[in-house]
Amino acid sequence: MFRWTSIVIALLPLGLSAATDQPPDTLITLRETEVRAMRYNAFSAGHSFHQIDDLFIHNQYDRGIDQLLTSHTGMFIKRYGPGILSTSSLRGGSAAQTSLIWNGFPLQNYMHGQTDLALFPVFFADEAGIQYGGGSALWGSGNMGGSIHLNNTRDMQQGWSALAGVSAVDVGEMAQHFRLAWGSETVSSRLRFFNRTSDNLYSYRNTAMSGHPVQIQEHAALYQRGLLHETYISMHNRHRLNIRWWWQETNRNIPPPLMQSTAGAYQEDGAFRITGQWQTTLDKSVISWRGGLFDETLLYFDSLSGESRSRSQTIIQEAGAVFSPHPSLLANGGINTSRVKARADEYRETEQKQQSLALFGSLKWKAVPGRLQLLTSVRQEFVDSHAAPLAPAFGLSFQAMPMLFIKANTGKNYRVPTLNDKYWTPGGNPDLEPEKGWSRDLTIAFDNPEQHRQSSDNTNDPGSPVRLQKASITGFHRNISQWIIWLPLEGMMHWSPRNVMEVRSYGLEARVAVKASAGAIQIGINARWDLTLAENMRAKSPNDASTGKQLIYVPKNTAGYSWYIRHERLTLIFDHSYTGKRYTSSDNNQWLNPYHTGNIGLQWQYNVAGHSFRVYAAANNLWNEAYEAMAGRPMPLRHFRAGIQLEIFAQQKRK
Amino acid sequence: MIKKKTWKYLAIAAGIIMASCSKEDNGPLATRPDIASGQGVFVANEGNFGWGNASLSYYDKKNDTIHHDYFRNANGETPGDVLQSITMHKGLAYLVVNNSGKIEVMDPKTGHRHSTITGMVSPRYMLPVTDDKAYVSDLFGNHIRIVDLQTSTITGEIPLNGWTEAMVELRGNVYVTGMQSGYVYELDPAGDQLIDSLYLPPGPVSMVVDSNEHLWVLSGGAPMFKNEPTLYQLEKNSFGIKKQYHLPDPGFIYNNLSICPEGETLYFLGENVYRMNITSANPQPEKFIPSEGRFFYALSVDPFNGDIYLSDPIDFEQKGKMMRYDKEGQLLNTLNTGIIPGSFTFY
Repeated sequence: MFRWTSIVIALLPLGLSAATDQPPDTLITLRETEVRAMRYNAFSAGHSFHQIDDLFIHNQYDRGIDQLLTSHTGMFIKRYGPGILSTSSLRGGSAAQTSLIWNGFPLQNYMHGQTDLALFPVFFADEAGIQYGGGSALWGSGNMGGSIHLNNTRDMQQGWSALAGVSAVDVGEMAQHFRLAWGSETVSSRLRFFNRTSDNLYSYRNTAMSGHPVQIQEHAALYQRGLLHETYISMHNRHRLNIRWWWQETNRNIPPPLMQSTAGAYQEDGAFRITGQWQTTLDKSVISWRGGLFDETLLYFDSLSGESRSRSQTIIQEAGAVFSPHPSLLANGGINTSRVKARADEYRETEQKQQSLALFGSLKWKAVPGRLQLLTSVRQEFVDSHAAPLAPAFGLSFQAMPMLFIKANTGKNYRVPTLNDKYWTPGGNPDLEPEKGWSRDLTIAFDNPEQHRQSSDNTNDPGSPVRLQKASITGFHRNISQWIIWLPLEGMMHWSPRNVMEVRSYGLEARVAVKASAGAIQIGINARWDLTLAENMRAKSPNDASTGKQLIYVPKNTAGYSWYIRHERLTLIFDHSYTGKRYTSSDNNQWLNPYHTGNIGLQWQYNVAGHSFRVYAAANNLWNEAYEAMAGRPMPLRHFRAGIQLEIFAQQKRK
Repeated sequence: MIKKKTWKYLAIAAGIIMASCSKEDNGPLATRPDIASGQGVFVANEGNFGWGNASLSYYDKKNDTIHHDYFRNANGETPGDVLQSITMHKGLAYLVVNNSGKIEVMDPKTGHRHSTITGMVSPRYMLPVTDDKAYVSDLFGNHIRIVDLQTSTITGEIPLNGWTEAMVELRGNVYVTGMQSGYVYELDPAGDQLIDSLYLPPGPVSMVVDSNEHLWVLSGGAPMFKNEPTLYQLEKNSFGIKKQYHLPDPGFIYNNLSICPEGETLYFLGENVYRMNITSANPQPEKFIPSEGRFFYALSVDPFNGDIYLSDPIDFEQKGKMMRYDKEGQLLNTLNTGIIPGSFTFY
């Protein structure tokens, strides 16, 4: 009975978690009394994950996740400016081929398929990480390069707590964040508020002008504010329920490209999201349901071309169960439906709808308990009655030595055309086929977690002052056919999407994490290197010279390291990123120069009786590098930010 | 001890990184070609909208060679964002840079910037109407700008409706196509006034004057227009329609109306290159050069020898192609250009 209970406790609200002997390098570490809605923890054996250290998340509460991912992952973020439009490229994929998944719900916009990462404040995430490689069998359409995961976790603290912080940046920016939480054994609730107002008058070097003068960006002002509320309820140790809602609005001036003469564009993004999840635990299974409503609005205005409004409303529901018929087997199955209603002035009919239904299932077999796991998953989605490609996946995780793991994964992935691809006027193409292809991963990982060492030698002796905590190397390969791009139609003046590209990408990803201590000093170091080769394999027309060339805006090399040094109340944090050459022409004859950026921050934190007070200051772009992530969109030179944060607790008295 | 070592390594790492923060340019600056009037063609490479990567190529007809980045090599910076068109006037080249809202005035023999005319919204083409005065059409301006070429300043404007595009001077008047409005406007350059307008649907885009001083207007349309693409021949002595020809394959857009040096054969772009002999008894457009999977983006006819120049921007994200045909439709050569070759100017 105990065995069943332990398995079931580890299962996720979707019936999707079973930690057990999974290598602890997943995005989360299961806590004793906490259950998470993270499918990958139980059924993604063989995938490579990168979880961002909590310290770096806490240090960037006043930033967007675009900044966080730029500094701490190998993901190339295509940023138009600080707080301005930001999309991602992972393993050579397009922005639409990486999903953003919030507590298990996909948040990419169904109209254009992309996610503007600048719209997601770090303060609204308790955990952030990246799953590398395609995951359509688990997550459905769009998971071709990988996925970004933002999660909220139940605060197990009982009683009241409050956190408030303010920060300022020397570009005319002020930000405030506030969190109020209350919890008991059965119920906990938490409300967060975020507000950011910025003139965004950052200095940049105008490399388009002779002499490269330093200028001030005067059309990048923004404000952003949002509320996130979560409620978690546990009943009889069998039922778990959570409800989350998130409201946010963001208004931004869009800075013009370097050589554009006018500056009159702005954008307003609105979002309201509400989700609910319920699960009940039975003897050998967990049954779950979850659903969400996602309402997003967009207003884009350009002083020349005028105004464009759009709105999408999406309802997602999913029911599933996890069942363990044998101690070595874990099965998962379910059904997922989504309904999208989108309106845009540019659609043929102002309102377009799309319905999809997906059936999915997974089976995990612990072939050698504690050593070898084998996994297979499959997903079949139907979009408006048309079958998307069947998406099977296979994975394994093998513990070759006590701290050495081998993980492998292969799967078919797909992305269905977006509503804009199909219905935009002019150019929309309703006859588009889904993008599809296979991805393969092989990871060799060394993992030496703190608890492992302590449990193995059963002592609190700190041992060696320098400890290699994690090291891994991953090789990947993927191919995608029917890749959708917009091209001008021959003999026409407008562009239209077509399934014309075939892309092969392959590369390596290396990660190292080291921890060290010397007396009262603690040091942590993370380093990363990503090699991504992404080539177009098919000529688009007779004169096309892009065959065999690196895709535009996919750097072959990105690398970086970050470290912190903590001495009692003081912590010094540094991160450095290198982004290699990005071609801007598909024949690789034009490119943007590589760049290095570094950020350094110092914080002082005073803790007393469970309360804490933190003061911090940071210099961003420490090297004062003049760089452009995107052509014609210069990023800020060195700038400074500082802030304070107070957190207080009122412990609930036990009866 | 650990601390010292750590700091030492970090400092070294930072030092290496600082030392490696050098920039490299997109290719070296090339040697300037010898340029003489009547021997070459300037190719205006638009570049990608917003990327600031417009460029100017020069094709040397005599030596059959092409030189790239002519403007950047001379001035250290690109012409700007979207090099729309080039007009030659009194020994100077006027580079109309659409999204930069400016005209770069360049010495064609050296490539050096002579001056810059700024303050426009979204300029498309320039037409000198006197030695010192020019008109500039505009995508969003709802007007024609009047430019003083002596002082390189904007001196006024003639209000018109919507997007103004091509301009031609004929018998002392200036004719302007209104892409969105569907009209061709007749202007008086002496008084800078609108005289008359003529509705030529669906969307008049380009014009030429034939050997008999008839104005031909290609109304190529746009996807949202219902009317068929039409080629109009206007009356010689009045601002009215003489003949009209509905074009084949009405689902396509037609543009780039050009004429041979003798003024007797018209050429224009649809999906393919079409030509029409206007001296025949019953002129009809005929397919002349098939696209065969290429994207024909620009067409011009050499006013000196009648060769036909075509461009193919391929995927609009790489160096395009320039193709030269003789008047019989035989391909003479194909050369690389800059990104999105959008027009040819014969010098």
